[in-house]
Amino acid sequence: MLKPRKIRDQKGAAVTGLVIALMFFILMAGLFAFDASRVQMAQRELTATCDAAALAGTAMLTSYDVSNDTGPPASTQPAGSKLLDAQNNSGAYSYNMFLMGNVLGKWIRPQTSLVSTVGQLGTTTDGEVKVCIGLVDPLNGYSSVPPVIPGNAAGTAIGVYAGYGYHPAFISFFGVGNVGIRASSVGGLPQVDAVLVLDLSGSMDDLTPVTLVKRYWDAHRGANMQVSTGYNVTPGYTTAAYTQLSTSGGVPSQVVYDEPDANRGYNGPATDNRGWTDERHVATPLINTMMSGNSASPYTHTNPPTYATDLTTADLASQSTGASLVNGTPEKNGSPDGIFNPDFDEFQGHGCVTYLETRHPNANQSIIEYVGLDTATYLTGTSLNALPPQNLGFSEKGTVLSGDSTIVFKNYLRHSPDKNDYNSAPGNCPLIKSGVGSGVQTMCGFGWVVSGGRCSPYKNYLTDHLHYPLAPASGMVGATLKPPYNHSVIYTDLVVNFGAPTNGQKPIQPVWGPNIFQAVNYTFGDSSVEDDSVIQGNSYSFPNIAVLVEASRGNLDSPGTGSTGNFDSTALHRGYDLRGGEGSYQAYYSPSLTGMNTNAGLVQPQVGYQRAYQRLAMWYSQPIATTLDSCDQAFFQRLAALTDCRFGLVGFSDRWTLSGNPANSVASANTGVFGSSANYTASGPSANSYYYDISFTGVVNTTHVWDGRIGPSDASCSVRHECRVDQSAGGGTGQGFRLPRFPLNSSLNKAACLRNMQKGAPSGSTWAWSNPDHGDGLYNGRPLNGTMCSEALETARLAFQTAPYSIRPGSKRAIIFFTDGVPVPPTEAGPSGNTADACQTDGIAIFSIGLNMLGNGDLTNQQTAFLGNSSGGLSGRAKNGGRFFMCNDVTQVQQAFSSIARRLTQSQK
Amino acid sequence: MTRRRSSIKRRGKTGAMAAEYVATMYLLFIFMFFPILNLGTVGLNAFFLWFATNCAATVGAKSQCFQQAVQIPSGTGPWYPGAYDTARAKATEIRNMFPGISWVATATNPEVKAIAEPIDPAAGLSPYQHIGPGAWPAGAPRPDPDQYTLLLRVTINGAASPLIVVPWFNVPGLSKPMQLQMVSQAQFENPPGLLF
Repeated sequence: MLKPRKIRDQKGAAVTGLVIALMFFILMAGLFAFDASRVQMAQRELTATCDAAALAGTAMLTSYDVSNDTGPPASTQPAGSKLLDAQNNSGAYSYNMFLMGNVLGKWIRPQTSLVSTVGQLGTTTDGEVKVCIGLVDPLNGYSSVPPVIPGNAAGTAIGVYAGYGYHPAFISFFGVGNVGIRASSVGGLPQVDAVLVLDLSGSMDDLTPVTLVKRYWDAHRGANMQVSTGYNVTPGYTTAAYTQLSTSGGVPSQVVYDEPDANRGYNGPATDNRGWTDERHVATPLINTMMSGNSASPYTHTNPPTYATDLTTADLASQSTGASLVNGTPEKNGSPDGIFNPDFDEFQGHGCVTYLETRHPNANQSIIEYVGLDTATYLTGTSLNALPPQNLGFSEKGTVLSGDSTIVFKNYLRHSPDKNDYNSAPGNCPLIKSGVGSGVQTMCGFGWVVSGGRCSPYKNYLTDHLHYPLAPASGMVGATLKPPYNHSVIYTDLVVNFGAPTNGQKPIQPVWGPNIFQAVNYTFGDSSVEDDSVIQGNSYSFPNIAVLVEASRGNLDSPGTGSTGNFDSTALHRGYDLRGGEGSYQAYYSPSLTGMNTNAGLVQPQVGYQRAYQRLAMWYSQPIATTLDSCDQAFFQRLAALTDCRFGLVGFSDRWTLSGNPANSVASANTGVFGSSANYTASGPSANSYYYDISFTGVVNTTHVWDGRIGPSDASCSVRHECRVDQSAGGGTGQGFRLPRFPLNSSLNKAACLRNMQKGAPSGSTWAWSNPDHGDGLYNGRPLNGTMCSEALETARLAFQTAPYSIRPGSKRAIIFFTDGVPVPPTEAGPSGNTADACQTDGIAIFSIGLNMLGNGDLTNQQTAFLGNSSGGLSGRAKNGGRFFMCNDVTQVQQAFSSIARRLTQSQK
Repeated sequence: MTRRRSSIKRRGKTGAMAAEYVATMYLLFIFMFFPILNLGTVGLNAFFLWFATNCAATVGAKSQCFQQAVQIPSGTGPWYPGAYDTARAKATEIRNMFPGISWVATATNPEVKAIAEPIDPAAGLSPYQHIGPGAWPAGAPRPDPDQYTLLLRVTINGAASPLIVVPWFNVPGLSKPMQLQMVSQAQFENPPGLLF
């Protein structure tokens, strides 16, 4: 019975062996497959980790400040040091990103070590991770770049190389040891084509601390004036009485402003050392001679006046002093022997330019606070500007102030309502003198002695400055006929309270000027810091508000050594007077006499004074100063350093909505979308409007004035205050204000594009911010007027379709749209939205930035609706990855530009 | 009887195992080892085929354009081919590394396809696919990353060969190459470039 079973057992032994062998084989195959799979999985995970680290590191390069990395004097650090810091930080960021990865279900942080060479990656032990992170040069075959100045400039991408020691789970039983796994990834060099659409509306400097000043001729006396017998300072005409009269609405028409004061006013002879006088008996025959035969004009007196005949008894009627006119001269009680001496007008032969600070808010002295703008209604701010075009007549528009508190621009205290008025005394200055031969010279300040016979409706140099603007033809917004009253709310000049940057350096934005101006002495840097060759390396002194006013007007400029330049006809050689505000308003500057005489005194005319003022004022004009630097440093410089980019710039024009104007199209671009091919030169008509010639040495066009008032002779407008720089009309040297624009140009390299943005031209010359005939750069722009955005946005879109740009297939295309307001007029919103829709079709993203520094809730809502990511916002309608950034302060503006740069630079090789 | 009995005893004691092992090993190698080896090899090659597809999709998705070569930086830098060429070149590179995988190369094999898949189903947009070569058609939806998920998909119709080809059997994957279709995809990193 046992034998058969034994025979069967022996026969089955092979089958048993077969099964065992098969099991072993399958087990081996399975284990091999298991480990092979894990090796592949580990390799893929390590690659993904490297990808993430390289992508993050390269993108982070654009998050750091690499601007102005040219070393001293622009920076206190050696050239390339900012980039090196950025590279080191980005490398660290990349390393941190790498540590966040995992391989085969385990976080790699505990097992990871950083090595310095790729060769060390091949010696990983079981479970160990080694990583080597370095700089690579995308322009040179992604070769390694040492992080050492200055060679680090080529390292514009991050490379991540990793090794992992895989310990087989099973096949190690069979002698298979550590399996080395390698992975790598490097950041790419993205191509970016971007056009910046920059809001240059008047509100872009609304937060600038300023001082409003009334510059006028004050006939007050000096201490050593000669007082004839019988003269008596009438009680009640003291300063206190004056204030009482003013606030009660009286007409202080023959006010003795102050008691004689040795520290105030002009104390010299009646005819000063330059031959100027306001003595009636001298002036009357001269004026009669000059005015005879003048043709009629809106400002022409048909009755050639003398000083006195223009006074009326009504001017004196309200006074209780018994004053009356006798032969046109104020006399006491009608008698030549009265208090007023017929041979001696107590005000004549004296007086000087006076600077009276306009009453101001108690705290923040920004433009909008100063004029009391109703920010709830006027969401887009005021068109009153810190720098030309100042649009001074807009101070009443939108104000919440009323009555005596309303801040009013007194245009007739300026030389002329529609002409520039540098080199001129205040409008109520009566100085006159005999000229060469039989001619008559005037200060051109009294308003009715301008060449051509224009005459001011104002006649009384004693009282004219107390009145509100009376001429309906002034055309200024809000200029209404009002009774004269407290003149402390009248102003003629707006100056910027800039601070004192470190000598030789540009301030790092944001910087805010003081509410109370403090003396500033500043030395401009050399050509590496300051582009304007006129002021490079020069020192300028601004001891007080009066100097600010004259510097801003150009009256302290001298065209050459030894020349008095524009100073001559300002009457400043008689000294000047500083006065604080009236009533309860604090005086912010010293009332002491400060010499501004060409012969002796603190301030001497100097080449470039006006440019120096404007340069400093630009740096302290907010938010535009921070915005421009953010555009330059946080966006353009970063992109230029780390991508293959091309730039364009479109400043907001002063053009109304496109409807009703020539259609904007590729075939027939709106006249001068970017100007002619000569848009970098002043030759020929160009669509760019030109910044008014602040060098004021060759001004021939008197219809454009430095404060932005445009005269009725401008053919493009019939209502003066609505005249605006219309680019379709073309520009020319000395006309209008330059509109910074340059097209996207794919034939330029990125360095040329960046130079264009910063220096106004792609190569060769540097067209400084102050050049009136050239310069399409970022810094050639000025706040102008409205928030008319549709034309600018459409122009930016068309820049991607028209020469000199030919599309770069691999580029990311974007429009960066910056504004601090909402469309004005509201009809601008519709065309803008349509342009955004077209951008969606064109594959152009719109990154929009809305600045709302006042935190105005209505503005926030409207900006979000107009610019936002929703279906109605520009970014939302354009899609293609664009995003909206809401900013509540200038720091957030910088962050927004950084975020946009980072979004556009994410790329891998 | 006695002779028969002794004969049986001799075979059982000395030759049974050997005789059975020959047959067993024959069976083992012919029907077990080599088929499994072939199957394993086919499986490994199939992975390599997928690996080629995956690498092609990953690398292609990092390209700047779909079809056109671009010079980076413009005017002076090296030329980088579009996703179509990049993906196919990568796939070919990997194919050449592993002789066990193959495919008949045509304009659409490996197939490089750009896919636009609507993000919001309620938006009423339709999916769109563009197969290379050739530029994105003018009338096609714009590759807007806010509206579509934009992918690059590489499909390879290839073959994974066994280790030993047995010509007289016709069993794909066992005795002759196995035809496979491998698909892999990755997000296209530069959506505007899909137009070109």
